[in-house]
Amino acid sequence: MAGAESSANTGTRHSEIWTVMECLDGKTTDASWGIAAKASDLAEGRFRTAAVWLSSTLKDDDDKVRKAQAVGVPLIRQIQAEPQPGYLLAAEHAERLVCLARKHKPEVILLPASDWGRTVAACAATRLETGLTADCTELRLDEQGLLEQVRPALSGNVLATIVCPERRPQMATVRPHVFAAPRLSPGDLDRQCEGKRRVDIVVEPASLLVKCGERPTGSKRLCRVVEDKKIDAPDLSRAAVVVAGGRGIGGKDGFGVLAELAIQLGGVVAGSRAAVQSGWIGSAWQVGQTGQTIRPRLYIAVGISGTVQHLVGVQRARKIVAINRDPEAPIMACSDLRVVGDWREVLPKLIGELKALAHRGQRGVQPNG
Amino acid sequence: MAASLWVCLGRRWLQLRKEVAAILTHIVVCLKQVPDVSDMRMDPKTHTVVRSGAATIVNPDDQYALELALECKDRWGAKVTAVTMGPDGAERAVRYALRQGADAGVHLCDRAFSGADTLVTSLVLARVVHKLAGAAPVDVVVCGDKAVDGDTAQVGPGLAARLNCALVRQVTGVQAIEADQSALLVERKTRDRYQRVLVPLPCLLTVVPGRLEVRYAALPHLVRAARAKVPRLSAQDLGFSPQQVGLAGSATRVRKVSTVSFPTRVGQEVDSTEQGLREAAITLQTWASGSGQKEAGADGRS
Repeated sequence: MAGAESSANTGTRHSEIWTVMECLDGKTTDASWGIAAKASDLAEGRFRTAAVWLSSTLKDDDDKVRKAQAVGVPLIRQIQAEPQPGYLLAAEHAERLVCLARKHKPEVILLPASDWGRTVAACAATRLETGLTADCTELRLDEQGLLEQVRPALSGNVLATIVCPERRPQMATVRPHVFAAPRLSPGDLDRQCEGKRRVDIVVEPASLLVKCGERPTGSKRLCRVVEDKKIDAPDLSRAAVVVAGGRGIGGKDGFGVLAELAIQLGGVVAGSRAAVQSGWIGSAWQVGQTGQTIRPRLYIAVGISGTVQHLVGVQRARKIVAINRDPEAPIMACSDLRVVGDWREVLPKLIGELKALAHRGQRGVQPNG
Repeated sequence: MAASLWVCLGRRWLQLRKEVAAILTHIVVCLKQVPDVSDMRMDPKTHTVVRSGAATIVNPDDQYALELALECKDRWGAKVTAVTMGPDGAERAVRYALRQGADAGVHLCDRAFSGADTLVTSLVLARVVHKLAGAAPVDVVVCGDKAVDGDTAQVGPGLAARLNCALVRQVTGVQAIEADQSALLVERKTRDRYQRVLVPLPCLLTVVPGRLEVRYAALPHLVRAARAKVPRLSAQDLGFSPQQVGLAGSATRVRKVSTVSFPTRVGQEVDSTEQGLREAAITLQTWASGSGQKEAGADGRS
């Protein structure tokens, strides 16, 4: 039956670009909005963009309709599905996405390359027998409307441009925070929505799941979460100042010095892949292609040579400062301020100067206050 | 050759059944021999990874996946079969698994498999799991969460989708099995959560390092692994035509590979003299506070 349905639809044009929106704690993530905004840029009138929610439990308290309008997404798709609290749902969400995609045949489906997004995308792409590119850092449409999916490959030594020429939809997960979410405070929202197209909302009934035959056996594959704890993990993507150490730090102790510098500047400490792999700092603190992508006001790279996979993750910092013994290190060319020297000598002096500055600042303020 | 494998697998299985009343029957572990990431090249013509010549290792996550399987075997008496796909050298991954204590291994080796994307890799692996299940029903498939060369984390979930079984990613260990043997209690760790999850059998787990410690190989296993002849399966053995697998069967194509260049920034250089660092400190403080900079630039879309 499914076969008959799909053959009847072969003539239809694939005309939508979807962004599948991730929800955490009942709120749509900023990373998802960033991708939706990028999708609407890409579409440029050639395609219709849609933001897709795979769960009906989300309340409208995070203003998704107006946000969609503000980022230029004219269509919201959603599926009416039973809430199932206390289960791992990525695989179930994948089935819902498959059903939606079989019905509407979008040209492109984008998801955030988070834990959830990667799982949903991989399960769904396999069911749809289509291509999927992981963790893209750039997306383009060529003249034919084919999606060029760019991602660092070979451990970040090269950039690969990947296409999915024949099968549809073209699917990609997109590195979170590579495309920034426009700032959408309630005040901005009204202003940004002015003059933008109204948003259509299409909600599919739960019966779609039965119709497309994705769930013949019921909930035998559901995984129940019996314990769920939040672990202390920094959200580096929100930090204003990040001080990161790499292979050149040489050991765990050096990160204490980095922390001192970070405190002086009101920032947080992070590590490169080399530092994380050496066990000097936890993997939650990793920046770069295989860690977190950051866009702080100030990024300070200490003892980091600047491999491609690292630069991919930090190049969006407003200011980059490199402290390195090697004046030829690749990171030096990408820095706004270069300090050539051994961090063991440079950092204590720098911290001392910053402390002195802060002290002078306080003294200067007191008489006036 | 394939027939002798099944006879061997069958015999081994019967032997195991005699040893312990096995609670779990059969665990399949997928391993990948990956290029050492510091020593890799791309073929300029095909735009795929050149694997010959480069030093290779067993993908780190996969080593933990095997360890998880072996722990289950130690506790609940399952038979562990290692599977790998790749060129001649990939046999090392199977041999590694045998040394560590896996009961059997299969090497999917065929020129036709080369250049496979994740979609077609999961297709081939699913076929193998079905085939192995013919000898002894498979209750658990274990994969490393991601490989250091591709870094996609797509094959595990894709394989679960094809096998139509339960899936838990980022597993750090197995704690217990339900009394009625219907589910495993596993621990998983994501970036900001620790969870314990009850996953119904059969299931697919993808493993990340964390709690598990990879064991040292025991002498009898070393001897056995050195002597073992690792059976090979070709595309044809699995019932595939060359067009269905490898690059030909893949949905994605690499259109272009480019070396990366980042916008250079016209920065000032500071030497590590006292004067230089004093100025640097002032600059850092200004930049850190965000004063004197326009807000629009950094927060606009790029």
